[in-house]
Amino acid sequence: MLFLYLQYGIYDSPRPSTFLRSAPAITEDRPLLSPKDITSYRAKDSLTVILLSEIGHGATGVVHRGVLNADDSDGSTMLDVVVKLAFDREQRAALRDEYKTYQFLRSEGVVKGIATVLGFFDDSERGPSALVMRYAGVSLGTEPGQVSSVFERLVFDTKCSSQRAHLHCKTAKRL
Amino acid sequence: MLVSKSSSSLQNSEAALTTLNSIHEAGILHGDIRPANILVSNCGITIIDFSHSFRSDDKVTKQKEYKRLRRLLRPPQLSGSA
Repeated sequence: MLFLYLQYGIYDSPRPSTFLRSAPAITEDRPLLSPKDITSYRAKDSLTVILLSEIGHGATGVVHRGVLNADDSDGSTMLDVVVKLAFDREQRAALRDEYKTYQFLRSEGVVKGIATVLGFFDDSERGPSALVMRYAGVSLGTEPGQVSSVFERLVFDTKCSSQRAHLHCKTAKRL
Repeated sequence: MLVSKSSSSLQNSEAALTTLNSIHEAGILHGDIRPANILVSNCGITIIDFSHSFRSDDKVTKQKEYKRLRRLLRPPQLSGSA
C-alpha cells in the first residue's frame, strides 16, 4: 500500500491518498537500501511518500519529486523518489506500458543507467495511477530533442544495416 | 577545472551511449532521447522517461514515429545539410 501526501505550493494534505500496489518493484538483486532492502517489502507493507514539488509534465502525467518513508519492523527508511502520476485513462495505460518497458529491460539484463522502479500503484478509488522511482539526479538540460530522437533512430538503423551487411558478406563468402 | 569538467562530460556522454546501446540491444527504442531525459548524479547517468519507447521490431509504431519526427524537422535537417 502507498500513502501519498502533497506538501508543496498550496497543497498540504492532512490525510493521504491511498494507492494499492499493482506491480512489484523492479530492482537489482543486490541490496538497494541500507539498512533495510526495499526489495524485500511485501505487498502488505506500507510506503509513505510526501510529494514536495512538481518537476515536470510528460505524456504519461505529472512528475513530482518527493521523499519515501518506508515503515517496517526495523524502523523507517528515508529515500529520495520521483513519482509519476497519471490521471486519465490514456495516461494510466501509457504509464503502465512504461512500467512494462522497465520490467522488460530488467528481464533483458539492462540495469545500469535506467531508473530504479519501486512499484506501480493504482488509486484505491479508481483514480490516478502512480509510478514510484528512485530519484536519479538532475537533467542535463531542457532543450527540445526531437532531432536527437531521429539521431537515435538513424544510429540504430545504421547499426542494423551494418550488421546485416556483415552477415550478408559472411554468407556470400560461404557460398 | 576546465579539464576535469570536460573529462566528466566525456564520461557522462560515454555512459549515456553505453546505456542507450544496451537498451537498443534489448530491442527497445527510447524514442525521446534529449538532455532533459538524461539525469546525472554522483552515481552516474540515468536515462529516464520511456513513455515514447517502442519495440524495434514494431513496424506500425516505427512508421508513426518516423512521420511524427519528420514533421518536427526543418528541411535542411532532413537533407542532412544542417
